[in-house]
Amino acid sequence: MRIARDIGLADLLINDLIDRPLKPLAAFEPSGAEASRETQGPAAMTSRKAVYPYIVWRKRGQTMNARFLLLSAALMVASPAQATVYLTVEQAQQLMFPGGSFQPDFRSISDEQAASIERRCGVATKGRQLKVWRVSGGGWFMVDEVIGDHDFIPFAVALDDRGAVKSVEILEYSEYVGGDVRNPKWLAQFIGKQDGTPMVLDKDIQNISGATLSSQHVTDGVRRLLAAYAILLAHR
Amino acid sequence: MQSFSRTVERCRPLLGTFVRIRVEGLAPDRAHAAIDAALDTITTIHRLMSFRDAGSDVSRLNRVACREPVSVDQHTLEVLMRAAGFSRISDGRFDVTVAPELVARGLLPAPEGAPMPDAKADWRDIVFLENGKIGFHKPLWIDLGGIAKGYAVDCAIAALRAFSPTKASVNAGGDLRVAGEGYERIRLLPDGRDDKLAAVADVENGSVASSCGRMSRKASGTGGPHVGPHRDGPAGAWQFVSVMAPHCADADALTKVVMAMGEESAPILSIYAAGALTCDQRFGWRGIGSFP
Repeated sequence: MRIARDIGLADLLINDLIDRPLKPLAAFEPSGAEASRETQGPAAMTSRKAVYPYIVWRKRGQTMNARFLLLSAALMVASPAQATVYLTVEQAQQLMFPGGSFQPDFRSISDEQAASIERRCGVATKGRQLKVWRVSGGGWFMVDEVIGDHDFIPFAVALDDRGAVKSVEILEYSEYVGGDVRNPKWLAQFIGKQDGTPMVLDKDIQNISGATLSSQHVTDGVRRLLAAYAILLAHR
Repeated sequence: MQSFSRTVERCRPLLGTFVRIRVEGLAPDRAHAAIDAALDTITTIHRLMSFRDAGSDVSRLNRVACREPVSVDQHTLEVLMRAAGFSRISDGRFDVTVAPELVARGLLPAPEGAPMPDAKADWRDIVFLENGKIGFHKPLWIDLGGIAKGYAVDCAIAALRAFSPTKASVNAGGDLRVAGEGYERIRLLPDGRDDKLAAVADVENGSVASSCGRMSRKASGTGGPHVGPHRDGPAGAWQFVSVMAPHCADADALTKVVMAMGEESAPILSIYAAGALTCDQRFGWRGIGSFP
């Protein structure tokens, strides 16, 4: 514990840690009524290079363990984007209208209708088909997609019988994990590296923390569906 | 009790970003019920603290709190009190009354019907009155943005915990919290920096929040989403800050404190049992924080 106290994280040369086996230096817990201090992990202080920020926090039986690591590009992902399927169309239907039955009522959109949809919502229409299901007991289920920051984002919208949005679910999302898809140079560094190189990020990364992604394109997509509803479905 | 290895994950556009919720160890029906409960919690907090929604607590405060005390929801009160704590401890580097600056830069729309803010107003002009009412000494505009997002994540985790999943995670556009045993590896992705190094955070029962001086590589101009300590321009225009803390609301607020104070934020980080990793053009990656 005393060792840890002497070394602020600011002192650590984190760049020195790359590609080295990392061991926890020590642990700390904040002083306070509920907290008690203890040391965890070996105090492997012999080399600065084996040191990294390691935090332990204990409260009501829930312990926070946390560490930052820097990995070199050799450990980078093979594909910059990884897609997560959250819901299939059928799953989304059952979730958004439990117990409902769904009658496909796909509509094709004429050029004229597309133009008035655009005028109404201010968002460009893409496809010429409105994927819509009539739900037993009233309401509509619609599926569409928008172009996100990195890929298409398919989403589902549930409308009640008066055409108001009940809920929106994202069906699939391709998370940007790193690198630049459009940069051939960036991609080239992975050619021939797939075999035998541990692709830790690709497999292990389940979440990203970075600049906040805007969901504005989905909001626009929902507006577009509402405009399409008003023009194609509302008065039929 | 039967155990389920199945993971259920959902994603919804909320809080202006994508909110992703994952639970493990629950039967599918219960997993969806847990996620629904968590999403409802986030929706409630979003409605209370949205700057854009005229009916939110925040909009009501901006409109009338300078004239008369305003009753707010317990959630809003909690976030305002935490925000006041961060303002006090960072000597005003963290300040929720910077909204006019963000409006001026086009990052937020001007609130409708709110009196023009006093240029000298700051966090000290927010007064906590009896019965949980809030008053403003001067006309001012508050934006709870990030800290409310982090708070929503904390509340969502609490809602999920009621269903006792073996693991749960809530990610609101990079503000995330994980609960349950075992590390979760999170990629920290400073936008616009080349990928020679990959920073990751391994977290068990904790939160990570990141802030970038720029909104995205597509955003033009120099104005990032943060305001400098003397309101003389954007803070940390090229800086990326990632903070780990037990609570997500703290982690989010601390990213702004670290961005404004740099290494001087170390004592503040230690109070919240937090650590930070920053990245900028000049120094590259740096760890900030100190042990108690």
